[in-house]
Amino acid sequence: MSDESEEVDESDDTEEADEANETRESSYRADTDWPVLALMRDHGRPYLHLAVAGLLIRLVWIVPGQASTAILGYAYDTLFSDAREFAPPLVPQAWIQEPIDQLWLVAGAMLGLTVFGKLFQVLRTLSWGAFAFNLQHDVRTGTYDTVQRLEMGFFDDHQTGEVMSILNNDVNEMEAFFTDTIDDAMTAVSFLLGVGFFMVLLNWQFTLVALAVAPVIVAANYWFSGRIGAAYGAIRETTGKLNAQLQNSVSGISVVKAYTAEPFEYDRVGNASRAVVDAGLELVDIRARHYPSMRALTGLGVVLTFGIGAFWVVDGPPGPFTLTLTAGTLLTFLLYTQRISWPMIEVAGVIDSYQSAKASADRILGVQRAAESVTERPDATELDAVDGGVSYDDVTFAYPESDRGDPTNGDGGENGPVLTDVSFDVDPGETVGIVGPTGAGKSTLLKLLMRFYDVDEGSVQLDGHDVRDLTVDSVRDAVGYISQDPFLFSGTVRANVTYGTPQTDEAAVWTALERAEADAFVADLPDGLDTTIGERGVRLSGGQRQRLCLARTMLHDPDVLILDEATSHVDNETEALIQRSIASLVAERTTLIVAHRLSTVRDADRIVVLDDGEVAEVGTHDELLDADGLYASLWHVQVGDVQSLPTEFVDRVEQRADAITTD
Amino acid sequence: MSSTEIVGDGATERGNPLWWLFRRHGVPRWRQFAVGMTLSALGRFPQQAPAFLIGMAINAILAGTEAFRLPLVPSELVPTDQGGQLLLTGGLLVAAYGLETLFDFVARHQMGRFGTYFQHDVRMDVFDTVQRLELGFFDDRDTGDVMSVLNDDVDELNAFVYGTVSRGAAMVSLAVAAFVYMLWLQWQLAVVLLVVPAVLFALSYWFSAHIEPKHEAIRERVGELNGRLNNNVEGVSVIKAFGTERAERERVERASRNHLDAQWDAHRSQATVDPVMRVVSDTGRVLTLVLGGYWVISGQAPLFFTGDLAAGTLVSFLMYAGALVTPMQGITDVVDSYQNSKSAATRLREAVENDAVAEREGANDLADPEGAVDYEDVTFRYPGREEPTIDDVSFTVEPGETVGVVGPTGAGKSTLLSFLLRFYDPDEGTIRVDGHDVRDLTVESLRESVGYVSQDPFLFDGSVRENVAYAESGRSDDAVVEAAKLAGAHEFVTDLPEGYDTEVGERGVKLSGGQRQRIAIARAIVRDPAILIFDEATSHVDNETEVLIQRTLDNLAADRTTFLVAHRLSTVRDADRILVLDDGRLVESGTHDDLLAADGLYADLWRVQVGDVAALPDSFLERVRREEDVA
Repeated sequence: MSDESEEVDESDDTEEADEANETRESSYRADTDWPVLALMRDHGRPYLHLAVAGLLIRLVWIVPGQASTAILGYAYDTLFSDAREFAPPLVPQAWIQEPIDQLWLVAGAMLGLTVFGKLFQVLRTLSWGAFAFNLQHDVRTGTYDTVQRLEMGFFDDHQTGEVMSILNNDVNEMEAFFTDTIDDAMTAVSFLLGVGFFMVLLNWQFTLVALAVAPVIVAANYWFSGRIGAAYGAIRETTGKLNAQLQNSVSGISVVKAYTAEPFEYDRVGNASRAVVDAGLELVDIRARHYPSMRALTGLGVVLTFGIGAFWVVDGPPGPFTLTLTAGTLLTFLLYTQRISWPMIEVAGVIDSYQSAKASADRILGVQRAAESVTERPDATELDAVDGGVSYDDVTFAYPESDRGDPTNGDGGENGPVLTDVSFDVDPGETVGIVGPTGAGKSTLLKLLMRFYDVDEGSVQLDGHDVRDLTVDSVRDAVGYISQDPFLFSGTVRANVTYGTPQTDEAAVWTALERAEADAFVADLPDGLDTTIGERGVRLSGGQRQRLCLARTMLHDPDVLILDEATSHVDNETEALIQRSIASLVAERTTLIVAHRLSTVRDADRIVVLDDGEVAEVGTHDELLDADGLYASLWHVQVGDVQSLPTEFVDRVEQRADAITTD
Repeated sequence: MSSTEIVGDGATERGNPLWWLFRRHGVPRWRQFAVGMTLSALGRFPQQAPAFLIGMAINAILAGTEAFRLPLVPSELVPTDQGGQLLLTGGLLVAAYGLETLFDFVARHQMGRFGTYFQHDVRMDVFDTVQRLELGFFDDRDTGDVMSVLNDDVDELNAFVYGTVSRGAAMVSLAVAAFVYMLWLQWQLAVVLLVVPAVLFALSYWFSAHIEPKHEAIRERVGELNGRLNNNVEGVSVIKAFGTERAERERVERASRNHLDAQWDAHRSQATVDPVMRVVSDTGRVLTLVLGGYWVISGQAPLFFTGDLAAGTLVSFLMYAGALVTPMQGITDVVDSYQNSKSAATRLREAVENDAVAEREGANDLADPEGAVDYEDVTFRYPGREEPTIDDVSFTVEPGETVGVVGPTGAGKSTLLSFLLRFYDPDEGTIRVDGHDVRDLTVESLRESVGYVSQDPFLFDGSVRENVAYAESGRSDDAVVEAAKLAGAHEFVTDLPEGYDTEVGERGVKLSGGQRQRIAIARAIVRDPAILIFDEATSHVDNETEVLIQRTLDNLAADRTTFLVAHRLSTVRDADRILVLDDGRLVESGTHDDLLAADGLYADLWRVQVGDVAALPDSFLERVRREEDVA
C-alpha cells in the first residue's frame, strides 16, 4: 500500500518558471570539483549531527517502511485463502488461535507500522530541515561577511545585482536542493531498497518477472530527462531573450512613443514571445509523452506480473522457475509494481537539480574565495593624533588587469597608468581642489589615500607616514569620505546620522544637523529624527540626502576630509546651498575636493589641475585663469563661452570622447 | 490581438479577475481547453480500473469464490474457463492502461497548448496596452514593477493552467472515479468509507488556513532580509569608510536568523501535518481491513451492513482507500496556486484597464510642417497634485528659431515641451503647430515632425544602424550615415570594430554618454523633423563633451525650430531667445545679455553657474532651500 505521498504527476511543472531565472551568467567560479561538498565542509560541520540523525532514521526505517504491503499479502494467504498457516515470527501461537484474533494482530501490526513510521518521518523531516535551514543561514551570513570585507575594487568590478543574486538566489537554491531534491531522492531510493528487500525475501524468482520492465523504465527515463533538459534549455534561452526584449522596450518607452514605434515594438516582442511559445510547445510535447509512457510501462509491468503470476499460482512455476507462488504474494508484488515508476522519475530529476545546485555552490565559493587586493602589513601601526598633512610623492598607479575601474568616470579605461608621477603636498587645514577633464584620474587619487587601492610606485603619506605602514582602520578613521552618491541606509534619520558613532546624544545630533543645514527639514519630517527614510520610508531629495551625509561626517569628525564629486548629482542651486554647509565642515580640517564642476572649487586655497594622470597646473582660481592654460579652457566651457576655446583643446576633447573602450 | 479593443472599461468588468482573463483570452481556444479537461477527467476511470480488475480476478480466478462479472457487460460474453478469464483480465488491464495513456497524452497535449498560447496572448495584450499608455503611467512606476507584471504575473498564468485548473480537475475526477468503482463493488462499504476523504478534506482545509500566516511571515522576513542585504551591498563604501563591518554582520545575521525562525515554524507545521494525514488515511484502511476481514472470514455482514464480501473485493477497497489520500493532500497546493494566480490576474487586469492616449476622431495628418509653434494660455496639473505644474504659459516661436528653456529644478521645463509631443495633454489652453491644434492632428504625424532627444540617450540592443534607423528598417544607408555625420557621430562609429553594424546597448560595445547621445541625436534627425527638442540632452555628459554636442547643434538648429531645455545655462547661452520658467510660470524672456542686464532670476542662476555664490542675494538661497525642503 502506498506509504509515502509519492505522486510525481504535475509537481515539476512549476519548475519551469524557476528554471527560466537561471539565465544569468556570472564571473565567479571557484574551480572546485565538488563545490556542493566543499560548501558543506565549510559551513555544514556544526549541523552535521542533524543530517546524520535524519539519515539514520531513514536507514532504520527502509525495511519496516514497506512491510505493511507484505503483511497484507501474508494476511490474504493465511486468513482469506488458507494457502498457508498463520504463524508469524515472535508471536506466541496461543494468542492467535482464532482467525478473528489473527485479523486483529494483522490490523494492529499495520496500524503500529503506520504510527511509528509517521513518527519517524516527523523526526526525520525536522532534523533534516534543521540541517538545511541552518546551513542556508550559515552560508548566507558567512558569504555576506566575506563580501563586505572585500576591497572596493571588487565592487567597482561587480554590479550590486550580481552580488545580491548570489546572496539570494544561489543561497536559496542550495537550501531547496537539500530540503527538496535530496530528500525526495532519498525517499525514492529507500522505497526501491525496501521493496527490493521484500520481493527477494518473498520470491526471488518472481522478482525477476516483476522487475523485468524496470530496466526499460530506467532507460526511457534517462532518454526523456535528456530531452526535457534540452527543452528547458531552449525555454531558458528564449525566455531570457524575451525578457531582454521586454526590458528594452519598457526602458526605452519614451523613445518608442516619440517615434510612434508601438507597432514595431509589438512585432519585436511578439516574435520573442512566439519563440518562447515554440520552445514551450516542444516541452509540452515531450511532457505529454513522458508521464503517460511511464504509466504505460508501469502498466506493462503490472500486466506481466499479473498474467505470469496468475498462471504461476494456478498451474505452478512456469519454465525454469521452481519456487511456488501464493495468491497473497502475487498481491504484494502487484501492489509494489504498480508504484515502481515514480522513484525512477525522481532519481532522474536529481541529476538536473544537482547541476544547478553545483553552479550555485560554485558561485558562492567563488565569492568567498575572492582575494583581498589591499592587505595590511604585519607591522602596520596605528595612526594617532593626526595633524592632517597629506602628501603625494611621485605616485604612479594603474588598475590591475582584472579591474575595470569605475566606468562612469572612465578612470582606468585602458590598462596604462591612470596616474603618473603625481606629487603635491597639502598642509594641515588647507583646502585643495582637484579638477581636470573626465578620465584625468581625479577620483583615483583619493581612493589611494583611503586605501581602496595601493600605489604601484611612489607613496601617499599622511602626517609623514606612508599609508601602507598604517592599519587600514586607523587610516579610514582619520579620513572622512563623501561620495557623489549620498548613500543612506534604510532606517531612521537618527540611525543614519549617528552611523558609526551610535552613542551620540540627541543634542549633538541636532548640532550636526544644524551645521549641515539639515535641521529645518528634519524637524518638519513626520517623526522628526525617528522618521524612517529610504525605500520603505520617506523619500528625500538628493540635496537633502547629501546634507544628512554631511551631518554624519561631522559627527564622525575626521581629521582629513575628502569630497569626491560630492555635489555633482545635485543641481546648481542646491549646490549653492550645500556649499555653505560644506564651508563650515571644511573650515577646521584638511580637505581635498574633487570636482568636475569648476564652480565648486573656485574658492579653494589651491587648485591642482590633473590631465591624463599628470599634474598640469597648480594655483588659485585667479592665478590659473591668468595662466590661460587647461584650467582657463575648462572655465570657458563652464561658462558656455565655447567660441573662445582654443582649437587644440576642442580637438583633444573630441579624441577623448571618441575613444572606444571595448571590453 | 489588435490594438483596437484594448481599453478595458474597468467599471463594468469587476468580478473574478481570472474568469475575466479567461473570457478575454481563453474563450477563443475553448475547444482545446474543453478537450483537455474532459479527457483528463475521463482518463481517471481507466486509471482506477486495474484495482477493480485485480480484485475481480482474485475472486473469480485465484480464489474461485465468485463468478467473473463485469459492469455493463452481459454475462454470456464472459468466458467461463479459467484460462479465458485470465486472458480477458489481462486484455482488460492492457486496455485500461492503454486508454489511460492515450487520454492522458491527448489531455496533456491540449492543455499544454492551451496554457502556452493563453500565456502568449495575455502577454502580448498586456504589453501592447502598457506601451500605449501615457507616459504618466511610467513616471509613477519603476521599470522593475512594469517588468514584474509582464514577466512574473504572466508566467503565473501558465502555472495556473497546470497547477490549479488541470491538477484540481484531475484530483476531483480521480476521487469520483475511485468512488464509482467502490459503489459498484459494495455500495454500503463505499458510503461508509466516504468518512476518510471527508476527514482528510477537513484537515487539509484547516491546515491551509493555519499555514497561510506562516507563509506570509516567511515572505515578510525574506523581504526584510533582502532589503537589508541590498542596502548593505549598495552602501558598502559607507560601511568601509566608517569601519562598521562587525555591526553590519550582526544586523544581517539577525535578519537571516529571523528568516530561519519563520521557515522553521512553517516547516514544523508541514512536517507534522503530512504524517498526520497519512495516519488518518492508513487508519481508514486498517478499519476497512478489520471490517472487511471480519466480513470475509466469518461470512457474515458486520454491524448494519448487508450482503456478501469476497476477499478480492476487499483487496480492491484497500487499494482505493490508498488512492484517495494523494488528491486530498494536494488541496493545499491547489488553493495556494489559485490565490497566487488570482492576485497576478488582478494586477494584469489593472494594467490592461489603464487608459491609453486618446486620438480624436477625424484627426488630420500634419503635412509639410514649417515648424511654427504657438502656446496659448497653457495650464497643466499632474493627476493628484493641487499646484499646477504649468501655469498659464503663452509664447510664440517662429519657424527656424532656436529657443532655450531654463529655470530651477521643478519649474516645469520638460513638462512644457512634452505637450508638443502629446506625451500629455494640457488641462487648459492650446498648443499649435503651424496653426493646427495638436489635438486635431494624428499622434503619428505629429511625432514624425517633432524630433526628441532626452537626457537619457537610450539605445536599444542592436546595431548602430538599427538604432539610427529605429523602427524604419527601410531607411537607406546613406540617410543613416548622413544623419550620423550631422550629429557628429560618424567618425567614432566608423572606428568601431564593425562600423555601423556594431552591436550597442546593454549587450554590445560600451559607449560613453557623449557617444550614446550623439547616436540618439542622429536617430532624431534621420527623419528630418521640422521641430527638434533637446530635453536636457546634455545634462548627463560632462562639460567638455557638451562642447562637442554644442557644435553639432549649431548645424542642426540652422534650418529648423529648436527647443533647448537645459539646466546648465552654458547650453542655452547662444540661443535666439531664452524662456525662463519659475514654478510653472513664464517669468522672463530674452537673449542671454538681455536677461543678465535685467538682473532677475536668470542673472541669479548665472551667478550659480559661474560659482559666484558670494554674490547671490539671500532671498535666492532662502528660496532654493524652501523648494528643496518641500520636495
